[in-house]
Amino acid sequence: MAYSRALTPRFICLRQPLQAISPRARPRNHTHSSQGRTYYSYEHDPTPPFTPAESSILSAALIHVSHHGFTASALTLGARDAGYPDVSTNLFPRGPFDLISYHLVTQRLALGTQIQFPDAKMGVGARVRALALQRLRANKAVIHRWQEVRYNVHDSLS
Amino acid sequence: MLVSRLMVELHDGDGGAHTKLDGWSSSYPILSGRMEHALLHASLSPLLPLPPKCFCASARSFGAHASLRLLTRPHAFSCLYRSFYMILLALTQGRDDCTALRRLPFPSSLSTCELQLLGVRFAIAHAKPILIHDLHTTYIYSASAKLLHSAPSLPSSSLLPSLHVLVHKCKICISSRTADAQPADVQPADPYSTLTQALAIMAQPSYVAPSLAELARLADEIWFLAGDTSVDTSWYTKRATLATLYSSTEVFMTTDTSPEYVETERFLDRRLEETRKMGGVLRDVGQWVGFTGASVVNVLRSKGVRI
Repeated sequence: MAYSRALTPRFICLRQPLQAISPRARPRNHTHSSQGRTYYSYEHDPTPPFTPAESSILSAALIHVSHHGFTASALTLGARDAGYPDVSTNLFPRGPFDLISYHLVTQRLALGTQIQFPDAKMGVGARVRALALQRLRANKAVIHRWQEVRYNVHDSLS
Repeated sequence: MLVSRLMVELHDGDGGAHTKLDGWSSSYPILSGRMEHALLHASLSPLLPLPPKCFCASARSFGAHASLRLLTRPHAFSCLYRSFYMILLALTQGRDDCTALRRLPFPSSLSTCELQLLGVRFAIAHAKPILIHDLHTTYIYSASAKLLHSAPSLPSSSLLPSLHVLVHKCKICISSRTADAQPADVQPADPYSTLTQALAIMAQPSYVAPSLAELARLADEIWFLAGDTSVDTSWYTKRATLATLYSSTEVFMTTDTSPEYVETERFLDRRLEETRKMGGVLRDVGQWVGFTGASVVNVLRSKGVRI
C-alpha cells in the first residue's frame, strides 16, 4: 500500500514509474526516500526497498540478532545462512544500521497487513493506538535480553 | 605471610586447609603485599556468605583441566591473578592437589601495577568462554573490577571499559545455586537488550538523519492507516506529535520489565491522553488570546487610537 511519502500530502500520478528503468540505472540514494521516487501512486506498485539479495541476507541475519545483537557478526552469519559468501556484507556499507533499517522498514510495511479496521465505528484515536501498539509488539519480537531466565544481581560491583 | 593470615580469618577452625595453604603459599612467592591484599579482600569477602560446597562444586566444574589450561599461559597471567586463583582452588578442593599446580611454570614477576592489571584483563578475556556460566567466576570478575577501581595508579583507560563489558557479560550466570528463585515470566531487572543496542546505533551522528526519516515515515504510515484525510497544517502537527510519542514509548520499552509489556501500553495510553488534553488546552488558549486581543483592539479604537 502506501510505501513512501515525502512530507507532502499525497496525490495520484500517472507518470511512467521508474520500475521500467533497470535497477542499476535507477538512482539510489539512502538519504532520499528508500525507493526511487518521492511521489506516491495508487496505480503502480512501489519498488521494494531492498533488492532480493539484500533482503535474503538481512532477513537471515535478523534471526541471529537474538544471540549476537545488531552487529556485523549477525550480518555475516546471515550472509552465510542465505548462501552468500561472507564478503557479501559489503553490500551494507552502513553495517549494523542497515540491519536495523531493514527491521524498521519491514515492520512499517507490514503494519497495513497486520491490522485492518473492518468496522467504521472505531475512532481515529483508537486506531492510532492500536497501530502504535502493534508496531511496538513487532519490536517485542526482536527484543532479546542478554540475560538468561533467572538473573542474579551482584552487589559486589555497586 | 599475609595470605595465610587472611586464610586464618576466613577459615576459622579448618586447620587442615590452613596448614596446607601455609606450606603451599611459601613455595609460590606472591608479589607486592598491597596489591595482593586488596585483591584478596575484594574477591574473598563476597564469598563468605555462601556455603563452601558451592565453591567446591563450581571449582570442580570449572575443572582442574580448565584452570591448568589457563595457568599454562605464564606470559599472559599476572602472578597476582594466579596466586589468587590457586588459593581459591586450594580452598575449594580441600585435597592435596597442589602438587599438580606446583609443577606449572611460574611467570617472571611483574613489577608494575599496569602489568598486573594487564594480566588480569588478558586472563579474563581468555577465560571468558569457559567461565561465563559460572557463579564462582562472577566473583573473580567482580573482584578484579574492584581491584581496578581501587588501584592507586590506574592503567590506560582502554582497560577499564573492556573489563566493565566483560564483567557485565559475566552477570549472566545460572543462579541455580542460589536460594532465591524468580518466576520465569518476569523480565530480568537489567533490561540491556537488542532494542537498547539498536537505539544506541541509531543515535550515532551519521545515522541520526536516516533514523529520523524512518520515524517520520512510520508516523505517516500509522496516520494513513488510521484513516487520516486532513490536508491542512494539522497533517504536519499530527505526524510530529505521533513521532515524538512513539519514540518516547520505544525508549520506555527498553526499561520495561513487566510481563507482556503492559506497562508500555499504559505509558502509551497516558501519553495519548496527555496529547488529547494538550490539544484541548491549546485550542482554549488560542481562543482566549484571540478574544482578548480583539477586545483590546476594540477598546483602543473606541478611545480614538487609529488602529
